[in-house]
Amino acid sequence: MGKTIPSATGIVSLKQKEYSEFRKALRKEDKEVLDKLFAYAKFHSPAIGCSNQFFPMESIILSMLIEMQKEIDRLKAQIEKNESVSNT
Amino acid sequence: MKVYQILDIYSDQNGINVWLYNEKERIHIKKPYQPFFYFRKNESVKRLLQKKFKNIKIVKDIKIDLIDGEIEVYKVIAKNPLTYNKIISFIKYSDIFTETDFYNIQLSPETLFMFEKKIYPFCKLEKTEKNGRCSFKKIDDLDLLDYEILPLRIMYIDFELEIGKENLRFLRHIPTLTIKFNEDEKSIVIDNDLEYLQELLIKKDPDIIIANYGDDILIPNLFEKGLKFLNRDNLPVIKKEGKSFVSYGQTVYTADMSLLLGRIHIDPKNSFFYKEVGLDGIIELSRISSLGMQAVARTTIGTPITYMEMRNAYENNFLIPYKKNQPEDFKTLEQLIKIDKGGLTLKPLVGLFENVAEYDFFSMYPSIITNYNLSYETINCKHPECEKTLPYTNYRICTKKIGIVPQTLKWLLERRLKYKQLLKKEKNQIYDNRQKALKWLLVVSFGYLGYKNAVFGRIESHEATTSIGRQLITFVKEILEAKGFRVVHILTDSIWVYKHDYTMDDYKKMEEYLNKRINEKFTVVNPDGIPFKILLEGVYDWIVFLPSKSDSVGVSNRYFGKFSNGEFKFRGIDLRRRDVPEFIKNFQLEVFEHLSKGKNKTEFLKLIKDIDEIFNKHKQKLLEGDFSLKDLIIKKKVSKDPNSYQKRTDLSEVAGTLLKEGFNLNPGESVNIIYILDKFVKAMPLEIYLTNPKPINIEKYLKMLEESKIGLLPKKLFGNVLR
Repeated sequence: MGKTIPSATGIVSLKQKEYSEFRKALRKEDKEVLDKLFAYAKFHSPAIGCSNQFFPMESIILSMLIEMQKEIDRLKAQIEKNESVSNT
Repeated sequence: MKVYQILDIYSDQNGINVWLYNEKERIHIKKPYQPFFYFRKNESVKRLLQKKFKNIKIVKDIKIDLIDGEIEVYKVIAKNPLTYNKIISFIKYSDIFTETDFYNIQLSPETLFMFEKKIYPFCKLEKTEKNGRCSFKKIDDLDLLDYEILPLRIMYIDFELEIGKENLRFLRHIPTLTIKFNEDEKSIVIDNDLEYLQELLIKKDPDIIIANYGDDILIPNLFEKGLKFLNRDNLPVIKKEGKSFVSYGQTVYTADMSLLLGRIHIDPKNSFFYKEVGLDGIIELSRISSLGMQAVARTTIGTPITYMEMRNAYENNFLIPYKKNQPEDFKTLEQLIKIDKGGLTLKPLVGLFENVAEYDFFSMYPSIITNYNLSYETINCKHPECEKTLPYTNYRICTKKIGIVPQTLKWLLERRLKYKQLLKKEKNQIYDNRQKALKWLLVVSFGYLGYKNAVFGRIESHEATTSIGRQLITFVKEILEAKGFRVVHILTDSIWVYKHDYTMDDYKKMEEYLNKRINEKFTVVNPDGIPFKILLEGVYDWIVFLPSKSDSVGVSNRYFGKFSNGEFKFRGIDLRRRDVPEFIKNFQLEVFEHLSKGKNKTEFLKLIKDIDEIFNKHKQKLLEGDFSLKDLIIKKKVSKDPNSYQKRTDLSEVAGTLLKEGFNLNPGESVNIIYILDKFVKAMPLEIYLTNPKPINIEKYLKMLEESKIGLLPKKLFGNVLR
């Protein structure tokens, strides 16, 4: 590794830094959501690194979406479980 | 017929000195020697060297360049090592030469002598006498695993300090010395009695001196005070200055070196290998690399590898390039983004798991290098008939000849495997030390491919290695997921997975299946390579993957777990860190001792509830002053020149205090920190604290204890985390 290209985790941190002005303009509660979204992306940083993209932001947003979808699925399953319990 | 072993080889002005030993005697042989090197045919260089140096002979020769094949060269033969060294420094330090035209000039006369005669330290020789002339014949084989080491006379010099961790450099006196000859003998205490020490040295005539702080304090001091015969022939001790350098983002300091002649001096405080693999490991490395024992003890791990590769090249009649004329190949940005990467990691799922299996590749990178023939000279080689390309990177690879690096690594890999097989049959500490020494070489062998100054390094082979590594581990992940496993974590060559209701036997069977599939899928270039091997490291009763401190995302290589055989594995926690004081490590150890009773997730959760009780016990100890000073020491490394610190930190304060007291610190050196209550500073170096004690900052240490507890059991661990 010549370290010419930043590491996978480095890419996400770099993008997070680039969006610091954007973050500043958000309300406190929204800032927390943004941080959580970037944490989602960090979790998937190896995959972002493997995607070989010039513009990694697309992969970063996809990673955030994956985690959000997982959260939706988890909540749906929870609701279904609760409903089946209340029906019986 | 007498049998000897080589103890030490070095050159002087006229030739080579060899010290041989056996049970009865030590003999010193002086041999005239004419070292030589090569340069690409160039008449003006020839004329210049001939004009400047009288004691040389220059002859035409044909040799093989690793990249260009057969080339015409001039061989320069120096009359003696003195002339040789003079020419070499002239070439290295004058800017009139093209450095890439020169070959073999990095070899010292003694190394060249060993390469030429195919001998090495601890090589066994047989002495024969005919018509009053004696000669020596090699009766040794480098491939031997159970080679004999004739009994050595070892002298240990040590000293007791009140607190085991001080850095002697910062003390103003040399304490009372304790001398021991060979481990089992009684120790002798010497308090400032040089004459007695002299007597002992002459009478016992040790082959090896093992002295803590020998390199920068003891040996130079004893020599200056007039101790004679530190060298066997009573020449002055050779002193080499220490240096600081940056390696993988860390500043490292190697202390001054004091080297002896005819005797071996090892300073455990200045020897990575002595600490890791002891004398057995150093002797093994010395034999296989033709590097003297004193050099091996002080060198970085990559040097023995380089020497092995150079010897391999020499024996295969190749020229050893001094500076490579092989710049990195041109790459587009797209290619660079694709291939300039390390191993694959998947961030761990944070939390507590049970029945997790860990599979590790056996020496993944060395196996790849060997199996795919990845070397400086084999990637995009000049043979038009070599058309095979590597997967992913698409570099062409040589199929005509096996490269120097794969040749060397294959030998190393097989040697280590053989030692491991022997160890399976019977326990043997010597074999274990030797195989560990080889393991270290294998660990760094890959990094050396990408290091621009490494003789046989090349960035393309480095890239090819990591890319094949990523494919291997991805392939394993795909197979396991298809079989219904959940992947918890991947780190380059290791994968953590679990499957409900899987037993140890099931996991073991899966190991067999994985090996079969991997070796079917990855068709290698080198037919004499070594099959890829993935091994079941173990199955964890329970394992905890910890999150990052800033967010809840898992961090690679930060976990603790207990294997089903009762063994623990810790990575990245306080227990493993050098900058964490002993009392915190004791706290964590007690926690793990308690947790060791847990055989699954449920039992773990029950036991972990007692952590507060253990915590309070250690907190109380701190509050009541029930600790010794050595438990509070924090070891930290100075990363730069102590004068250049701009921000005030504990480290800059300690470095500043030491400077004020007249101790010069080098970047990379460690200091021992004690936190104190004081108006002006928050920390003090231990060595100064001893003579000038201040109240201890218990609050600070309590906070550290608290953080250590949270570090093991972060609030987020069992709550809302990425799963």
